[in-house]
Amino acid sequence: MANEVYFSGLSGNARVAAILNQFVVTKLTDTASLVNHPSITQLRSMNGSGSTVVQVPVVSWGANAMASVAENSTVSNTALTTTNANVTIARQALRRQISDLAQLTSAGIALDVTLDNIAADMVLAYNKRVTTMIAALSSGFSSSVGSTTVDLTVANFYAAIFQLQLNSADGMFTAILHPQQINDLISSLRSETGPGQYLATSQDQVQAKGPGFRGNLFGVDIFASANVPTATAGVDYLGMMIAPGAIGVATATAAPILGGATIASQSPILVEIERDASSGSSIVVGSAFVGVAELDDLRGVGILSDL
Amino acid sequence: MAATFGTIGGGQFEGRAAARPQVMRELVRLDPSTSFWYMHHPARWMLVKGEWLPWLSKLQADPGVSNVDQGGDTAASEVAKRRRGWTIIPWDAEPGGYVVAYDGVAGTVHLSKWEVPKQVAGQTRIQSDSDGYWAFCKRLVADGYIDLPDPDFITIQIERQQKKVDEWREKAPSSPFHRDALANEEALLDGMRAAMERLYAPPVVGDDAPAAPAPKPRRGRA
Repeated sequence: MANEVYFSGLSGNARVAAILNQFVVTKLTDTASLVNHPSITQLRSMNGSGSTVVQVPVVSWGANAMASVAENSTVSNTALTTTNANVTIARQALRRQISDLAQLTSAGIALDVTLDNIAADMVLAYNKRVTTMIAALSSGFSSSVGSTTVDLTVANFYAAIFQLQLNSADGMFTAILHPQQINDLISSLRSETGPGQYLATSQDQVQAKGPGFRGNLFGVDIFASANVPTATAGVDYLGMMIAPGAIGVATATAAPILGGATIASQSPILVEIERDASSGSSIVVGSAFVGVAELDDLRGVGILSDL
Repeated sequence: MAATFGTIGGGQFEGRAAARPQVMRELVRLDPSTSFWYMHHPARWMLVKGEWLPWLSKLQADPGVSNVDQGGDTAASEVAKRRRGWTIIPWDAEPGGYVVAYDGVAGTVHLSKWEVPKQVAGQTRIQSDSDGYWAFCKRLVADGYIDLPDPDFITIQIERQQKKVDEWREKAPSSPFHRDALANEEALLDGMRAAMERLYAPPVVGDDAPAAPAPKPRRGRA
């Protein structure tokens, strides 16, 4: 017999080596976001402010109690302690460039690499950057718990709570930990006895508190981020536990500007598309002005533990 | 006889090592990071291998973080940190500097000299010389960059460990985990106390035991 039709004969002609699937799988990455998280204090917009720095007055309201005064005695003045915390904004940006050929050959499936999706990805890029900036502040608190090259334990977690309580911090505490720290914490929990309970997160809680929310332990919200920095020459992670008011975020947007641009809703992100006709490509630039800083040192504790 | 440009050097040429084409350069596969300074707060001390050593933090020159401005100037950040009692450690506290820059896939990566990136099975790992790092921390006290801690800061940590040991002693009879780990925690507590005594003990002449570092005059940031 001869002249049968085989795939091998068609391959490259009537058959192709591979076709694109009808959906794109997103490469696994940490999308945890602390943007707009309730534990982070949102400061005023810097647009039209006349400065790149926002100064937050810190006043000791409620710190001084009245004292008894003898009859016919004069009451002397008690000083009101005031200080301030500053937050300086700076531009954060991401640029991507896509050629016309890459754009026109897109298969039209969801999440394909297209101009539109590149622009939409700027929101995730912004979230990742701001989360990284916030996580980096763990290094700046003067109080810390934990030990180098020792896994995080429930005892360390308690120590962080106790430290905040000793500092009279109130409100809902939030722990921002690396996933490895959370794994170690849960491992440590297995040996605990007593009423303490880890309440794992549910889908609606993630929707409410954002990606990265992992649950609640002893009344503390636990937030996981792979952007938690390393410490002690790279052998440890340094997470943190904070009370509201520990960290502030200031933002500004370049919008409105002249020319074609898109503003992501409810955010300072400005996405602009630049046309480079000579190279036959389009450039997408996403930018935002953001500053993060510690507002009150006593409202935060660093949590150090082994990688 | 007049020399011409063609005869300068006698026709001898000097070669140099060939470099890979730009696209084939090996770049560190880590996210870019800015340069930084180590800094220390008087309250931050840690027991490491039987010694109380300063627990350093980083002041990153990262625009937008902790008052570092658009151009990466850390001046405002330093002022804020100093006002809260932090000491900024100059780069020259370590011979040759303690920050090393690498070319990364997405920009420059700054690491401490005790962190060396390496490629293992397609993954980037950091090889850490923690002994070298802690030796540096110890030298910072001996060289006068960091003062000896106020005893209160050490005592707080010892008291915290004492509480943990007390709690674990209570749990040990009913919990195999606490029973097994109790000895380590007790040893740690003893080590903390012994290290504190050594830290403040006056140096003994002729004694072979390591003496507590004597602070030298404080040096400012370079």
